[in-house]
Amino acid sequence: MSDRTDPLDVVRAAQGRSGGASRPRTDWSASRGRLFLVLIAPSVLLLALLNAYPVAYAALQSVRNGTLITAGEFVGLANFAKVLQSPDFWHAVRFTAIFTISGVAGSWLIGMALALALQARIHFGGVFKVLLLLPWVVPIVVSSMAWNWLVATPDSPMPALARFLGFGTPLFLADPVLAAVTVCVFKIWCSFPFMMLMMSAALSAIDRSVYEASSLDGASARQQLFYITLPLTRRTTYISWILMTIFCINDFPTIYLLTAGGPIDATTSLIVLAYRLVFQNFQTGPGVAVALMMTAAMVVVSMVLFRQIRKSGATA
Amino acid sequence: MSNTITGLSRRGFMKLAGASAAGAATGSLLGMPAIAQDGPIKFWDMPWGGTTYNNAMKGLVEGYSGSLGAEYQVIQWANFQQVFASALASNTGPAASTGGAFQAFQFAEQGQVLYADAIIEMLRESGKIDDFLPGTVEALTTPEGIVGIPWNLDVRPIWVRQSLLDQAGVAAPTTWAEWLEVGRALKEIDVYAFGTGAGPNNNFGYHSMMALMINNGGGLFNESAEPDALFERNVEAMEFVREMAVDGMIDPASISYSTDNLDQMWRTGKCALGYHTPGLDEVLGETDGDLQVMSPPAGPHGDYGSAYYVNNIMMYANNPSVEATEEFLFWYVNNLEHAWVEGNAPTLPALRSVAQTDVFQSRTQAVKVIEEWQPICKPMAARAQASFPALASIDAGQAVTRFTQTMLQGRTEARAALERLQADLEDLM
Repeated sequence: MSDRTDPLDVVRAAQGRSGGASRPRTDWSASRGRLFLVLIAPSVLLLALLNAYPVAYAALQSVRNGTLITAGEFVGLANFAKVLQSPDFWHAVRFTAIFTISGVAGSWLIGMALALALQARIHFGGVFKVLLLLPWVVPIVVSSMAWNWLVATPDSPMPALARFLGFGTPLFLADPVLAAVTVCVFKIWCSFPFMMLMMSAALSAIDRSVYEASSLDGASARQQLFYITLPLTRRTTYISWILMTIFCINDFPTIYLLTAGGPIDATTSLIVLAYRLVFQNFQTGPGVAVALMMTAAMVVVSMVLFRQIRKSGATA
Repeated sequence: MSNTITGLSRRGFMKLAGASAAGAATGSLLGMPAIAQDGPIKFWDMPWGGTTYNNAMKGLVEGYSGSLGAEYQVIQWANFQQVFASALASNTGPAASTGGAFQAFQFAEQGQVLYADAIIEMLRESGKIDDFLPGTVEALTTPEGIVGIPWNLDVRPIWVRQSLLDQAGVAAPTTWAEWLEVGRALKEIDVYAFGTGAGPNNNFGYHSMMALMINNGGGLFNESAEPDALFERNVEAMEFVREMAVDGMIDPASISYSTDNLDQMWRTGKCALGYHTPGLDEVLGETDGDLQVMSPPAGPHGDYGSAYYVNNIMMYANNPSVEATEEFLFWYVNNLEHAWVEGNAPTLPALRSVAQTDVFQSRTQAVKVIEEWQPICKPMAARAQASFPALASIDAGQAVTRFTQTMLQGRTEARAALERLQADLEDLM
């Protein structure tokens, strides 16, 4: 045992406390715990107000029959039952799935293709990158107006072009099927620059010597794509899919500004349905129930994709 | 490894966070007691006519010399229901406001708007009540009381572009049968006889359906204010729309037209007839007489009619003083001329005296709407005895928009579309 003086005893002696009889360790730990509580309280309160409060409030609204002003009475899971029995809900689920799958797949395919193309050394590559980013950068209000001008009336440029090419006069926003296609294409157009950025970053992290070695071994461009590029970028791919899935499911303005969910509900997604229920029909409970089910779906999709990320990390 | 870190367990931390959130949520849901406003009287107004209107009314309101004074704030139309609802829920709303036509009905039912019977009585005692156009005060009367004070009217008249009728060699129709004849003639020159739209933020399509039902003696509700979409006159009116759609008299793309798309259609001469606001000629900047308000056509049974909104001024429960707010509103109604004379309000007045001003009389087409259309118009509650709160969620909502788009598409029998609408209305009410 050392006979050296404990530095804490020196401090305690200087404060006039007895160095011989030190306080029990549990007291010291408890006071530190209280200090910790005081220090984190502002952050906890802020987090609770910003995150937990809206979710808790929404959860309470989903089991009540209130309006935007009144809290209403407790109705249990009746709002969820009503929503699940509604054909409008399942119609919205179907369109949300189509919108999300096409949005994620379409934007990733185009984004990946452009990212690969931009790997090549070309003149004015920076200019191309900036131009390709424009759909992502331009406010959705502006781009939706531009698309409306392009396709809304029979005399708009796109229907006029189709007529010129002998395809008749397609009603891009008035025909339910074409409107759904148009909204999905609009979403892909808005989103591919994000995917392009993500995949460009992933591609630039791949060591060029891997490609050189595979070339020496006689690998074709197709083999390099499927056996080198895609496996080495899959973590980024999964992350971008998670993010784009959340973007698509939560995307209100892209749909609402172009079609408002019409014609005849052809482009009504879950988020548009929730908005209509709450703010047009003033049925807060069912509207919030839709939103909560959307959240649950997003959590499930994200967990599946996160599992894929972990797997890819383990095998990388 | 222990979860205890410096005296606070992970579970304890979660409890703390949960308690904070739950405490805040419970506080909101239980509803804090209304905090009485201090003066001055907060008056919220909508952009009824652009900055000229709002600047003029701001000057008027802020010049109010009543006991508490008054302050003026403009609320945009975009998501105005959320704005009002949020403000009322948080006790930061106005003492009085203009707003949506059915807003007062909805908020009065929830106890947020006070009935205006006392102000109407003040207007009656002063003789001002006789200044209101017929049917306007009645349109705001419910069994519980009068929800607001009428001040402007949003009528849906039919407009025609005379040059296109001349080009087709026809005159403006006076009956629905003639409308179909005119439609066939216009089709020969590639012009539509029923200009409308039911796309994003465009309610003219729905207004047109309602106007035609009322024109045929119909309406979506029975006398007891219950949904009655399948009333035979409604079916007949919607078959008329379907016939026009099938015969190519309605632009098939119109089901997705925004108001901009519709106005462009009028501007470029693609349509020659259609329901629109009373100020279409002014909106398009064409007051040379080519765009004219048509005289109301007779329905197949000789009925006349169209739809209109009686926009009103309402008084809220959360105000600094009921008496002072009533005095302010009495004063405001007596000075409403200012909105048209100084503010160039493009809407139609609910007061005869304003309609008689030189400023308003110079608007030839608007005067025609007041003289020929307003007297035959009915609110969206037609055939009910009075408007009711559920109209706030029905008007321009998903159910009527879907119904309108279905009718304009022309592929569905009127009765089938109305059956779906009936089910939707029952769900909403």
